[in-house]
Amino acid sequence: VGLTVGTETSFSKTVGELDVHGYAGLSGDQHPMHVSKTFAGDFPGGRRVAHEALLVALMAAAASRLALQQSEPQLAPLEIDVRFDGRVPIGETVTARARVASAATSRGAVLDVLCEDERHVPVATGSIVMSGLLARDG
Amino acid sequence: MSGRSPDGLDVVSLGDQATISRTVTESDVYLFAGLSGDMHPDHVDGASMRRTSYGHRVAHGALLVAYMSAASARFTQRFTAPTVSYGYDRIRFVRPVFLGDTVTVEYTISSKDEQRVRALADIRCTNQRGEVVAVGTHIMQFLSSTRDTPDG
Repeated sequence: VGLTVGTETSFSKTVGELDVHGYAGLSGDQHPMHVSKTFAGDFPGGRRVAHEALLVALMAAAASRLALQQSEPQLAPLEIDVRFDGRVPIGETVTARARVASAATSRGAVLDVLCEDERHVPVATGSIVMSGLLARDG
Repeated sequence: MSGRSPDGLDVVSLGDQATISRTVTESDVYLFAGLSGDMHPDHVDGASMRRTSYGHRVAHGALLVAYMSAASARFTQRFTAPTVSYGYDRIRFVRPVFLGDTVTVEYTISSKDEQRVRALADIRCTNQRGEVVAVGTHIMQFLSSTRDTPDG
């Protein structure tokens, strides 16, 4: 059992209006860089950008999908390290990737994760430790 | 106060804090599942979760990261210097968060990196019983007033 080193998964998502405003609502992060066109217009790029932490959600989702694909539903994110390397304007399509870097550390399996934009430039990179937290009997 | 203009790291001091509290509802978790693409049964399949030691659906760990970022945004409201989130170190999810739990996030400035113009904050998330559910460190990058972008 456990995740296989070197295996990976990815999925792509166009970050839309609803994603950003939905994220603003459920997080409570209403920073004008995310929700105000006029504020964002004064900055490089000139467009509203997604919350950086939304990229964490996408990377964790990729990690979660990888565990499910390998029939390890008990594995869940235990630890996350992340760096935000770029910004994602609304309308950009982001690809989230997760790859098993090491399967058996004392804490769990370590996944390399990243999000990249349409030009394949990383906008967030990091690692997620997946650990078996749940005892299932069915 | 020094005579310098309130720009960059001068506007924050060690121990400065922001706190937010959120009750995690079913709609939060389902909206989060939809926009993240994480439909893991831990979050959306109550029947499956009843057969586990947890007994109930749990919130996504990354939803707590959303609350961390909101605490960070709340913190930045106290000054006008532009900042961006540079990253998080060692976020750990130490206890499950169930639907109906109320999570409080304490965001506390723990150190300053004058060289790279960054502030580090300890983040502590607790539930309504005061139990720690998640911890981490946030790195806040201050931008110069010429509004350039961070270079790492």
